[in-house]
Amino acid sequence: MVDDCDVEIARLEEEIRLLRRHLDELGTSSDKFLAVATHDLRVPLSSLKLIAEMLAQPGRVSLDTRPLIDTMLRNLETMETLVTGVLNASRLSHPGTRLNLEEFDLNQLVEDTVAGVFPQAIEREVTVDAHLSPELGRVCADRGRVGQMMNNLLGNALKFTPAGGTVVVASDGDDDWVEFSVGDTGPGLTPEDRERIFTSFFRGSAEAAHGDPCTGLGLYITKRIAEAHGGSVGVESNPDEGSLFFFRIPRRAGAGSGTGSYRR
Amino acid sequence: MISLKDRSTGNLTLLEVSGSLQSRDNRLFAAKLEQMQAGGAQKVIVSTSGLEYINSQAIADLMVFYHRLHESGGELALAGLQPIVDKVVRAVGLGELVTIFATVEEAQEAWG
Repeated sequence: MVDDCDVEIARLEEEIRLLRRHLDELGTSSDKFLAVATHDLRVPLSSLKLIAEMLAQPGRVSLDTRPLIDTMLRNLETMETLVTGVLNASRLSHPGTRLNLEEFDLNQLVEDTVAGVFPQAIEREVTVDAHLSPELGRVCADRGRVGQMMNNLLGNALKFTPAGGTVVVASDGDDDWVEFSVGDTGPGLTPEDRERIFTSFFRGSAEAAHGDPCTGLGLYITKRIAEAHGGSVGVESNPDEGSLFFFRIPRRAGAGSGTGSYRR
Repeated sequence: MISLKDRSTGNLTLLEVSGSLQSRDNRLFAAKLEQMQAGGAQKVIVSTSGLEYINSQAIADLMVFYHRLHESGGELALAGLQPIVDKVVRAVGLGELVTIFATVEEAQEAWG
């Protein structure tokens, strides 16, 4: 009886292994398809946008045509954001995603990123507070990708925080890890949304507060970048209580397991 | 908590702001600017050498303060900007509106 069970377990394990490999292969080919398709879409999209921008210049078209050009421009910009997001996501899906590792001052990057969102925050009447550790020091990571993660979290918070709300940025670090978090007073996440918030193309049930388009890729990309560094992402949130998104990466990329718990 | 200290000499007002200016301090900061405005301040130097952070609401308040001063013929200068404060001041374009001095002494010498 026990032997029969062992045989059955071994058979099921083999079946699972084969299925997993098949799924990985399917994922890789769909990622490849997305990468090629989005890359090829970018060129004609850019030239269409350029033409629309030229047409939007004063005196180019009649006044009654102008709103149509503006609509076209807005839609092209949304499409560009989506295509760039998909391309980024598919590139990051490859198991051996290459990071351009370099040593840099993380504090400077945090300051630049926070300062960069001030114009948008002021325009949207959202207050940006910050508790930045001056001791962050130098890290070995992909500067562009780390900046992208920070911008994704900050952009998301500004997208979902209504006027009069607050976004709180915090950074901290020790000898081995560095951490970056963004809290907001937005609508928060339902437990169901929280489970799926870092998956690709997932859009939660909450509406963006300022009508921004959502591709459902920003947080997925953030997760992939953090993992490519050997780090992790997370969220703490409840409906009507705002959200706290964070990532932590090893001070030297690849040095950690990424499974440690986030400390604040 | 932030610390706000102001003193006037002739038509020159110096406001020293130190600490980390966060949401909890916005009312106090806005009230201080209004008080200086109501008191007829004309040439205002805001010393930020002890300011570790300034949030977006306070930057917006400073911009409104600048415009009101400007409308009444006054001037605003910032002195001793720490790196993050310098970055946010420039990011929102405030650096193009006000005069920026490296130190308060330099500002006083130029405006005194």
